[in-house]
Amino acid sequence: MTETDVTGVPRTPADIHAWLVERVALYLKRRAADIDPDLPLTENGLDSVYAHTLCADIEDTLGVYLEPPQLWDVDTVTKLTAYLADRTD
Amino acid sequence: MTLDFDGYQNIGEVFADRVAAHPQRTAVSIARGPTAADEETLDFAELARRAGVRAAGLAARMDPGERVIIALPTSTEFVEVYLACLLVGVVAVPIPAPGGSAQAAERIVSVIGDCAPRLAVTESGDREPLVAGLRGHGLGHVPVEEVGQAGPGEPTPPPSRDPGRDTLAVLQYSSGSTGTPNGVMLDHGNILADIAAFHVGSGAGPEDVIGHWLPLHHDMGLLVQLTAGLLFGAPVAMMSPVGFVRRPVDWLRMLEHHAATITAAPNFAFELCTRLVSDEQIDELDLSRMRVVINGSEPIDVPTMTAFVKRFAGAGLRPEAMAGAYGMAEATVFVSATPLGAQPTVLVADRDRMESADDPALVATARGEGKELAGVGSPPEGFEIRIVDPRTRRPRSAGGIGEIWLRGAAIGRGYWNRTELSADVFAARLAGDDAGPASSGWLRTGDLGALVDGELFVTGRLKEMMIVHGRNVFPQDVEKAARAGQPALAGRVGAAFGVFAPDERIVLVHEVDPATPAADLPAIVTDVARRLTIETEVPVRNVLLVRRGRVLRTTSGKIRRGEMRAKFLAGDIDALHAELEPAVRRLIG
Repeated sequence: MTETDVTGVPRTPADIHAWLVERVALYLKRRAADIDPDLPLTENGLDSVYAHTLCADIEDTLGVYLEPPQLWDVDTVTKLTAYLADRTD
Repeated sequence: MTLDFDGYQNIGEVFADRVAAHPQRTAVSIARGPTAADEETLDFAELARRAGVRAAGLAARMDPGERVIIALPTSTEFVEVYLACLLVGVVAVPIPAPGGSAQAAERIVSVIGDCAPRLAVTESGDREPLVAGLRGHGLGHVPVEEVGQAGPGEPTPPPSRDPGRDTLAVLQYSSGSTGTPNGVMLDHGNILADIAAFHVGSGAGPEDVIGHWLPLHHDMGLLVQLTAGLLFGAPVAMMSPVGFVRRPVDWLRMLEHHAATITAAPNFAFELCTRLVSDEQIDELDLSRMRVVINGSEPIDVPTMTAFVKRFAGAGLRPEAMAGAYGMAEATVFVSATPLGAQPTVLVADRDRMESADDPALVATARGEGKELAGVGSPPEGFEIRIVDPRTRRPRSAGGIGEIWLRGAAIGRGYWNRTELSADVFAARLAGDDAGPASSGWLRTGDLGALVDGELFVTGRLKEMMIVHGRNVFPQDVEKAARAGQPALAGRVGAAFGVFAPDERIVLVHEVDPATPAADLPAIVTDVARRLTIETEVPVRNVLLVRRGRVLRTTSGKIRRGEMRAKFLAGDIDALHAELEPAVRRLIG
């Protein structure tokens, strides 16, 4: 982990990555360590319900509006991190 | 307050009385966008006016009994068009709006092919793709129109169009099926009887305010929420299903904002709220007005319900507001629920007695550990219920587990255009009772259950349908979708079935082309799981690839899904490659 943002809003790519892993783990009732960030989200177990929930989470926390098709296109936590980091400068 | 529909011939007559009694009362409030500011509200008078304008338009060009496809999202326009159909005796066929989804578009085409509508109504963006899809299937003659505005004026539909109790009102297509859709025929009398049963069975009534996010093409959303509100004269606040899954807390906020007292949702919604609504959000919520919170339309998981009640006690939710409910589209929707003011009964059942092959029964365990089941109350007056041994068609004694059979005025008239299937499902006969008119037959629900001290407990399913996130999912559709985009599975057979871990999970066992290199199998499994999850919106994380001939079939070629399920749970599937989610892996003995 890099430095932690005191406002709780993830800003650096590393923070965004950690935050995404934590959210996905929460949805799937798994430990963060069990989420493989380079595996497709569907293979980690994300389904269409949680895809919507994750999109809204991203909107509320990072201010980036997403819908599930974009999420499925980007596909993994690692690639999603890069996608979001580009849009949250 | 009591409610009596006996003096009425149709839904429109009841609604007209509500309009006359309180024209300025809110009828529907609909959150159209992501924020509360995007809300649209119609009072009873304005809803009646708009529905009347649309009804006059329909009556001018359609005969009674003709069908109108309503492929609209949750919106005032949906409510107006639906009510307009009911006012003039044309048949409303609500189905999911395509909204760019290829699967939804395919479904609409298959429903249109089945029920031969005179008109399909969509939103503007959905019209062109649907027209193109229909042309591709030789159905280009069906007019597809944008819903538009109702327009001004105060028209009155011709009185000769007043539907009777036996006039068809709704064709209710099950939400998952694309292969051979079965539309349940409901007449005005069925719906009036079922909403009256809902009133008696759940305690919901004219003094309530209803709030929900269920889709309006779903039986529970359309009938015991929207239509119940119209017939009670009670306000109905609605939001879209996507609005709910994006931000589950918005459902609860909507209930509070509208001072709602009644809501309903499938089990998964309670689980989602329990885990995703934060402590801070609960501190700001007030759910103390809720009288009836119905958990229905998918199997009830007792720990989920218990956890929800405990978590939202902090928001003032009373434990006795929770109600377990049972129903299905074939019975309009409502069959029974926990009575008003009572907490759902929980029975800890002896597993060995439940699973006994000769005499399955629901008996409280003497050992402390067992299967927790929630009761769903007793079907109110107007329903008759029998628990029947499906092999002998003889009623079982109290506590015995068997198929749930129902009879009564709320039972639909059959499936549209499916005479044989309708006779099997809607007009079943008990052993030794072969005579009598068709109306004396029973509805075979395909669900398994038992009556314990007069209360119904649903224990499982005889039919192959699965229910995920409140949606009915048919194994044939999952198997077909798996094969559609994967050459290694093309032309082969598979078996999809549900297992409980503890909520329902789909497992697919599929035969694979023998020429497929072993090294390719993991990628095939990944592809199938991914495509099913994204395209069909059905999460399928458990896929087993097997050799040719390993998916059991009857001599006539029918897939033996129940036996494949039993083999799977016994650990008897010899897979070339398998991917299973951890909770499902743990089930295998």
